[in-house]
Amino acid sequence: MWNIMKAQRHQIKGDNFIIYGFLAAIIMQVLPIFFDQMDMESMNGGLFAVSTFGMIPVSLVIVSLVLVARICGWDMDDKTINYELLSGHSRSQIYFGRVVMSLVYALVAGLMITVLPTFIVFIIKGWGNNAAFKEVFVRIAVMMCPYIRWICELVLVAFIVKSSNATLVLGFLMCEAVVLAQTIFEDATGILINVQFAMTNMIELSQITNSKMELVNGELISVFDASLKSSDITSSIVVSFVVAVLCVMAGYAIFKKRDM
Amino acid sequence: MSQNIIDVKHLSKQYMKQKAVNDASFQIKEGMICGLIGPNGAGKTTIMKMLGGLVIPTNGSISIYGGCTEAGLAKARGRMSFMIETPYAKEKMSARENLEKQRLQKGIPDKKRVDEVLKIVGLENTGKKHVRNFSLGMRQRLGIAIALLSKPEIMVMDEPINGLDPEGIVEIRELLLKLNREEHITIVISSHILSELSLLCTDYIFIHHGELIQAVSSDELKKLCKEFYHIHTDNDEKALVILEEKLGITDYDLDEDGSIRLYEKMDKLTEVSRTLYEGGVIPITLGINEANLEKYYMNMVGEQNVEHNEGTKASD
Repeated sequence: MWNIMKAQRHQIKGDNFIIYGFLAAIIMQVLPIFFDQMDMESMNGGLFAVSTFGMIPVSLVIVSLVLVARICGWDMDDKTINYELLSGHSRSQIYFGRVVMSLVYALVAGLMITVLPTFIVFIIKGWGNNAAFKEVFVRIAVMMCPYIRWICELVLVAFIVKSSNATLVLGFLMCEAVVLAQTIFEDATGILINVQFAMTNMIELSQITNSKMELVNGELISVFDASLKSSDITSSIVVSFVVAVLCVMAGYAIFKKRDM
Repeated sequence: MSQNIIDVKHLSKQYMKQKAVNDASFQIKEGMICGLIGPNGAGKTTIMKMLGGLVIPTNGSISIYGGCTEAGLAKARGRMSFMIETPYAKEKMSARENLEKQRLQKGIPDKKRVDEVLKIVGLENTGKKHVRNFSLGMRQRLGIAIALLSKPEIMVMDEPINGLDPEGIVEIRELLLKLNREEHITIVISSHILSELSLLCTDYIFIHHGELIQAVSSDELKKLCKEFYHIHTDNDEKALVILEEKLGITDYDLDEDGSIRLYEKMDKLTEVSRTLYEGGVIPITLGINEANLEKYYMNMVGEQNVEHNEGTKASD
């Protein structure tokens, strides 16, 4: 399995498709600064984090789609994955090697996109008083759980459709369709759907709506409540973990029995 | 005495209503160059894919180097290499980059091996040219290079000379013979170019409509591909009577046009000719037909097609 992962790393190193996807995700993440015309003078780490939270799901979707499509789907497009079977690797090594690569690369890239810009602002401008560091940190950490679930769902899609491009298209449709369908249904019927989809869960976790004006150090500032209820934290972690495991096992069950 | 390294028993593969391979059993011994011969759709590639683990058999068993479990077969495949169908490659990578990726996934520590195999197959000067710009022959060479990368003990090759120019065909033939002779690599090869197989193979397996028709060594095949006299006269019926009465022939066949195939008296052409002439029959054609793999195969396929069609009609 280690050899398969080394070969994958060699393959995606310098892959322009992944580089462009990563850049697109970073740009999406920092876009609010320009569109919302923020006051850069009063900017700090906490304010930056809260201001860009809403773009996190979008950035994570872009980077995960690109990485999973390339790591899992590309070799099935041109059948070079067959060489791994022909070389004596077991189907479990081939499959789980790609699952691990997808999770590691997508998580690292995701954390870089979500944390790095905030970290840079934090280093330059300090954290500030607009949001509690611990609350922001916990929110990002919990958001990684539905993100991991989303990555595993994409892996399943990739192994079903056996194609990099089809994974991209279907993955994009999945996240758009789920959010749109849920919104339309809830607006039309007034019935809240209590099913947690990965995308909707990430969006919920990215929304920080509670804020108030407070006088801090003689200055009136917006203070954001980025805390999460323990029930929300628990349900995000548990549901994400269960669905992620189910998706991974389903993907393996499909791949194990497939004629290549 | 060479041992069986591949042992296939009652192997079958069913796709929906079609049986691609039906109850095939054969053994490959160490050191063999075994030719898989059959028309398009006979099941050769499916058998090779099952040996490689790409296709899961419906029935039957495969044992390679004694390993017959999933883990055992995977381990055995580490000692093999395969080239099946058109070689798979990353189109937007060069030959070197493709080989480097395969070197890494196969766990080959020696980086120089990539240069060695590029030189062996004649692709050392392709530089950064992408595989999507390769000709069919170049792609075949890349497939062979990938197969040679791990210095295998068994090579399974599905039409490796497809698309190669005559020079390339000779090169690959000589390479395979050298690998077999000097490195004792066992080779399983399929090709439509029967004349090439006859120069290469020590053994043959004939497959038709998914079934194994015959497995023979090249020595046995020579005996089966009998030489014969082809005799056509101005009166073939009379010629046959004369030959039976005067020379006592019994081992012969008649072609559709009535001409005679005589399988005996092979060193007595003059006697046959004189006997016919003295009997008042004028030979129009009298010559030796040398049997070869191609003719043997065509005859066999013809017979199998008749049997298959009769079987199909009966089941209808």
